[in-house]
Amino acid sequence: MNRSHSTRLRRLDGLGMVLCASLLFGIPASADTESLRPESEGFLLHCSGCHQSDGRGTPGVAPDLRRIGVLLDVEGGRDYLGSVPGVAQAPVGDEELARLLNWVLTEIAHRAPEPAYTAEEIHRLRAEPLRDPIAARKALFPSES
Amino acid sequence: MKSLESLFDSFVESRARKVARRTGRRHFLGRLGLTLIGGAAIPLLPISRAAAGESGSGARIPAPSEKIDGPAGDETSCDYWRHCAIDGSLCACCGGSAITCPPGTEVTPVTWIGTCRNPDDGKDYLISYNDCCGKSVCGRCVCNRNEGERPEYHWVRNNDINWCAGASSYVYNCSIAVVVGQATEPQPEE
Repeated sequence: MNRSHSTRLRRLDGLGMVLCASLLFGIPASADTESLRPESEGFLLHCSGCHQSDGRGTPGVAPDLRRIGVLLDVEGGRDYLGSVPGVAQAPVGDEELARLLNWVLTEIAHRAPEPAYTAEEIHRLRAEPLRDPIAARKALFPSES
Repeated sequence: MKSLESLFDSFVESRARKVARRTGRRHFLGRLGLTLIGGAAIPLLPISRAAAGESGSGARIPAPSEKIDGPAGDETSCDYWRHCAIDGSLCACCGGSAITCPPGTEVTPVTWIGTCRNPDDGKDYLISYNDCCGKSVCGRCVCNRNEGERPEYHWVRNNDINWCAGASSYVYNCSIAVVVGQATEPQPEE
């Protein structure tokens, strides 16, 4: 601990810069060990900081998770959900991430994935995180562009 | 029997007149209005919004014990148990508290969540480190503890970021530490 000088006060130039950096350089998937914590707790710990405790998101920063179920209806949407940076780079193991994504889709978006995501599928998807998730989403929904 | 009824009537009448003398209708309506308007205004106050994570917003959050002697129980101390992963000025030294932003600042909706162990009950709690934004940096009680913090490329678990990026003002003032839940496991990166 260094109380005489806070890195906070040096200030990174904000969320956007770090987010862009992580997207550009494609931070590799985490090799964290698996956890047995309940999915609701994992959601609070890893997701709610930006997506809020009810998943409604934060405009301009994090999307509304209550509406992500539509991605399961389009070709490529399932892979997209497993490879967006917020999912692919979460500091949890593949097994826990699969459980977490299934839980978010079921409990927050009210759209249980069929079949449920598995650790193997998540491992494959997060190995190649999206470099440009906004462009990838537009490609999934061209009529919205 | 009649005298008993008369006695009862007299008693009720005298009590009613006494109450009427002490409490007028206007007085009652005035107090009622004040209560209703005051109650409606409470959710608008920053203290209510910041504390919402501790007491409301859906899930019931177990209240951690705060009967802790010494710096670990002092919210103006860097050693306060909830500050195990904080980085910034403590709002308790800046006109707010460990869970409320100072007047005139705005709590940012985006934040990062850490886990701290309460030394009194030995349990781990999920702590939301929200920034308070909109006024120039407080600068008092600067505290930089990084238990469980991740590198900057794992930005959702990093406390060097100016989380005011998610607020209407980018100007950082201080940080709060709100309990948002009980953790079944300690910091995964311990």
